Amino acid sequence: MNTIELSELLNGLPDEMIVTAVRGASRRRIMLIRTLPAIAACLVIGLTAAIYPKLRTQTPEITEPPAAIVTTAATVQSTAETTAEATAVTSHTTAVSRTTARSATGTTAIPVLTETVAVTDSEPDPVQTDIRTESRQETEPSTETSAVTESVQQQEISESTTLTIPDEPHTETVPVWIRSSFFQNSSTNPLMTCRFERFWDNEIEEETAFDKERIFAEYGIPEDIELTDYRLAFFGILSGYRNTTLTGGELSEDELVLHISYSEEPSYVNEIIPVAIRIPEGYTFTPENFRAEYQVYTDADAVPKVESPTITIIS
Amino acid sequence: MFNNRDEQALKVTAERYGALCRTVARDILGSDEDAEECLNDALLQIWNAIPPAKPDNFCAYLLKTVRNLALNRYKAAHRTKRGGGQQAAALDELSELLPSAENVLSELERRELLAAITRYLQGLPAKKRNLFVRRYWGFATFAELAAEYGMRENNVQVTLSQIRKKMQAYLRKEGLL
Repeated sequence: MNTIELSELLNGLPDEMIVTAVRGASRRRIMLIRTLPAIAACLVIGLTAAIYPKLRTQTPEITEPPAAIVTTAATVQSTAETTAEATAVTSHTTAVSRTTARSATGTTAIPVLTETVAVTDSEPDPVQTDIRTESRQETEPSTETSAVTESVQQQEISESTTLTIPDEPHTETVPVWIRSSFFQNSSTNPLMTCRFERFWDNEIEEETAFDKERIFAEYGIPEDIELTDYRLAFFGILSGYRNTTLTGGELSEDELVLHISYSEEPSYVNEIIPVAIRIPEGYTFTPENFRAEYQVYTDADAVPKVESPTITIIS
Repeated sequence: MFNNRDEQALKVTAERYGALCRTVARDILGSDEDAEECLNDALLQIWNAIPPAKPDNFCAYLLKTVRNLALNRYKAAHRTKRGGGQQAAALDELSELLPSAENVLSELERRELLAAITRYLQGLPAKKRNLFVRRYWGFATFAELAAEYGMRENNVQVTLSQIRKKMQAYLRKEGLL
């Protein structure tokens, strides 16, 4: 007997065995084709949500020289009082334009005293020193202050993103289970995305014998939970940042929103956090109507540690 | 409908089982066009076979017909260049389960061997069983199986290797190897 004969012998396998195997494969392919666009859309939304806050916090590029330098250069050129007045005008104009640029980002300029002292030492002229001091105070935060400002900005943006909390308190919540995360090698650029993976489909699970007990045990889902098709949705949070946590979310008739927090420090590996969410009866969840909102923390210790996130039902 | 010689039967069959048949044929032949031709040939063969044939499971009957036609087509296409392709690779793996290369089995021994393989497969979890059938009956690639079952290719290979080894031990215990 050779391998070809053995292969032909396998044609005698029970009909049900063959049909089940092939039908399961075909169905899974169809599911993949259907879910791929949804996954791609989620990926785009997730990436946008991750990148957009960073873009908003970027300070505009300032091409003109700092006010103090302009003043100093003018002082070197001439010591006459009239020249000093002209310098004052120049520096003041510069200061106004820079303050305007800062205001566009929604931040408040913070005075920097150290810079002022340095300039004062080098320029003994009291009139010019005053002018420079004023302009510096309005316009030129130090690096340290920039960090503080960015932190404030991010917190402000974070607060604005969490304003989706409904006016009226709702006590009804959606059951959520989180499996222990696993890790994979990190890509060059750290990722942050949350994607819909699949539904629990009783028929398919039985056909393919995905070990229900094992999966439920991994997630901590009660075995006696009553599942009708498409009522248990699996998600995966893929994060290249530290302290990634699912902090909560909201489910309405229109969409499911998950809130995810993480610190801005990239991780050495990508963390995958599998999440299972029980969609209550009466709510129709489709992958297209799912999005994630991200909250970035500059301070890793400030990231909330939520072990049992609550997804609120908004009726 | 086939028994009544209603030509609509071909259209209905293609609509209902076309995707399944194309999956089987494509895995063997590796080409959508060949798979489509194979499906058409299978429909013609079934049209000629029913009646008098009365298959218990029409879907399985159709799939087996498609598989046989695809295998014949594959053999014809690769008669000159041996080796390569999924079919050759899968057949090579199956050699572990051969009683003996020189041994010519009687019809009774063939039936016993098939029954033992069936018994063993029925005792496996459905996922492993489907993996085995998809690979050695349908000649699916490791990549396809990995995508379909949410596994890594390496895991699929290891799982199939374990199934073969345990099946080999089982067949040996049954006195068939």
